[in-house]
Amino acid sequence: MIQPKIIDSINLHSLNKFLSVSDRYYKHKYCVKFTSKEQNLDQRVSFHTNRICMISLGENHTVMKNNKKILKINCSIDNKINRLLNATSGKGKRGAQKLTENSVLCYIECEDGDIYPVYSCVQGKLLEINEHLISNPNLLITNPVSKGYIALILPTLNLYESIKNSMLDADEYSKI
Amino acid sequence: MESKIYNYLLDVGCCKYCSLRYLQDRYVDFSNINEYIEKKKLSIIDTEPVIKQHKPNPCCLCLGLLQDSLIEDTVNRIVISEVQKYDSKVFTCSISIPSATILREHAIRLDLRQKFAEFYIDDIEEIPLNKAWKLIIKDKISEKLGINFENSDICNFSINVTMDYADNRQEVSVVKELAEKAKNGDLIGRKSILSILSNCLAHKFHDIVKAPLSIPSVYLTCKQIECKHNSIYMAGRYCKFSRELSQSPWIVDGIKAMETSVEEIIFEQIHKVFGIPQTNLKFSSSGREDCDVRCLGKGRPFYIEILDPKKTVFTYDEFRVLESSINESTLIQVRDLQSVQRSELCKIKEGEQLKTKDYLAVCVTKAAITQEQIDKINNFGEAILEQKTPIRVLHRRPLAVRKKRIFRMEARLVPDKLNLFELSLETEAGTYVKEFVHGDFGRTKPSIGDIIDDEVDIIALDVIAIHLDWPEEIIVPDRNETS
Repeated sequence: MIQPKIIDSINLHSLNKFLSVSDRYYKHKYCVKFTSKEQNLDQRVSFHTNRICMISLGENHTVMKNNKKILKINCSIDNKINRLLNATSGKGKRGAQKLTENSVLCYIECEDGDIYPVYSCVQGKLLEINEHLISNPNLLITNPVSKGYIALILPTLNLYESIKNSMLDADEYSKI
Repeated sequence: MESKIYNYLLDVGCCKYCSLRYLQDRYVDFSNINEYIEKKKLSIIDTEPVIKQHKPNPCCLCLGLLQDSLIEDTVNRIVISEVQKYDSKVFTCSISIPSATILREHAIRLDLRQKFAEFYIDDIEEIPLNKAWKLIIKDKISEKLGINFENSDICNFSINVTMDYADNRQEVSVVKELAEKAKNGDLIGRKSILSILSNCLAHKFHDIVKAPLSIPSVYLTCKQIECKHNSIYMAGRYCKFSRELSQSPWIVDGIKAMETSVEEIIFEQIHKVFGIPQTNLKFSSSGREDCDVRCLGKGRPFYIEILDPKKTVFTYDEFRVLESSINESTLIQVRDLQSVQRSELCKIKEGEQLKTKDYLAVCVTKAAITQEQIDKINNFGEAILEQKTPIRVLHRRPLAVRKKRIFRMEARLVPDKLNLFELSLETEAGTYVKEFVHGDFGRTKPSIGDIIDDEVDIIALDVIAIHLDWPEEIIVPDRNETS
C-alpha cells in the first residue's frame, strides 16, 4: 500500500494562519484579583491540555502597559524561600515547593525602582521558574507566552476546574 | 533399624508411602514400593503373626494424599478434554497441600529424633510430600493423557491440583498457642506456620500437640484441578498510517478517547484468526509514537505476550494469514510476525534506549522561510541538545535535563509554500523531536527555531526508520514496500 507523501498527508488549508505553540496547545485565562487602583497586576495563566499551568503577565499589567525596563527578577521571597532552589524528583514531583494562589513566585525589579510581585494564582506544586529570565529578564515583556514565561505549576488536581473557572477568558479580559 | 522405623510409622497410623519417605532414601521407586519393601526386608508381617491388621485409615501424615484411593480419584478427576485444549506434548504437575500436614510432619520429626536418635544424626531430610506425590502420580497421569511428564523447571505446561482438608482450620488453630507473641491476622498461611514452628521449642510443642498423632477422621478432597501454560510471545513490526490513531487504547476518565488503536486492531485479528481471547494478550513495543505521528518504512518492533496459551505452535503460513488479515486495515500494517523466546524480549527495551531513529517533519515558520535559513540548518552539523522534559509530558514524567544528539539534519523548501519546509532528522533514541523543532519555550536548546532565528512549529511528523534489527526479517514473496 503506497502511503501519501508527508506534505500530502496533512490538510494545508487549515494552516492559512500561523498559530504559535502556546496558542495551539494552551487555553489562556486571566487572573485579575491582585490588581488595585494603584497598580495593575493582571496575570495570564495558560492551561496546557495536560493541566500544567504556565504563568505570565497580562497585557494590562503596569510593567507591560508602560513597557518598563526590568533590572532583575528576584526569586528570594524571604529568608527561607528561594524559588530558584526548587527541586523535584520522580513523576509525582516530590519535594516541589508548595504554592497557594497567593504565594509570591518572584519580584520584578524595574530600572525605575518600582517592584512588582508575581503571584502563583493557582494552588499546586512549583515545577520550575524560567531560568532564562535571570540572565534576560526583559524576555518577560517581549515573549510573554513563549520564551519569557515566568513559571510552570502543577495545579492541585481536585481544585483544577474551580481554579480555571475562577479566571477570565481571553475575550472577557480584552473587554476590560 | 530402617525396618524398625518403617514399622513404627505404620503403627502410629502412617501410610506405606509416608513411612518410606522418612527412611530418607532418595532412590525409592515410589511407583512400585512393594518391591522396595521386599528387597529391603522392611516388612515384619512374614516373621511375626499379624497382631493388628491395618484397616485403611487416612494417613496421619499425608491425610491420604499419597494413598491409592486418593491418587486414583485425582487421576480420574483430570478431564481429558480440558487438557486437550492445550497443544502441549508434555506436562508437569503440582500439588497444593493443606497446611495441617506441616504441623503433622513437624510432630513426627520431633518424635523420630527422640526415638531413633542414632539413625537421625543430622537434620531429618525426608522425601518431601509434594515430591513423593509427583513421583507416584506422574506415570498414571501420563498414561491417561498419552503425553510425557517433564520436570517443572523446563516444562511450560502444568496441571495444578489443589487439595482441601475439612479439618484444616481446626487442626491448625493450635499454632496460635505456639506463637511466641500473640499475632494478629490469619495464622494459618504456610509461611506463618513455618516461621512459628521454627521458633518454637520442642517441649512447648509437645505440651500442646500430643503424640501420637490423631488419626484423621476424613481424607483430603480434591478441590480443583487447573491447567496452565506459561506465556508465549509473538513479535513483528507495525506501521501506522493514520494521524488519528494511538498505539494503545486511550482511556480518559474511564471513557475511550479514540475509537480504536494499533493494539486493538492487532488483538481483534488475533482473536478472529486464532480464537485467543483478547484479555489473554499483552502488547509491548520498542517505544511509541504520538497518535498524530505516522510510522512508516519497515515499522516499529513490537511483541505480544499470550497468557495461558492453548495453541503454542504457529506455522509460517499461519503467521502470514494473520498478517494479511490485520493488513486489511487501512490504518496499520504489520510484517515479520513470528514466535520469539522470552529471552529475546530484552532486545526491544535495549532498542528503545540505544537505537537511532529517522524522522521526516513538515515545519511552519512565522515569517517566510529563506534559502539562507535552510542552509543554516543544513550546515549546522551534529547538534547536541540539552532537552528538559517537555511540558507536554511533564505531568507524567520526572523533570530532568537530558543530553540528546541529532546526528543528521537536512531541510528542504516546499514548492509554492512560503512558510513551510521539510526536515529530515536522524536522532538519538529518546529525543523529543517536536520540542527540538519549536524549542518548548526555550526548554530545548538549541532548537530549529534558535538555528533559523524565527518562531517555528511542527505540523506533521513521520517516523521513517527505527534502526533496531529485531525481530528478524521474514522473507515473503511479493511484499509491497511502503515508503
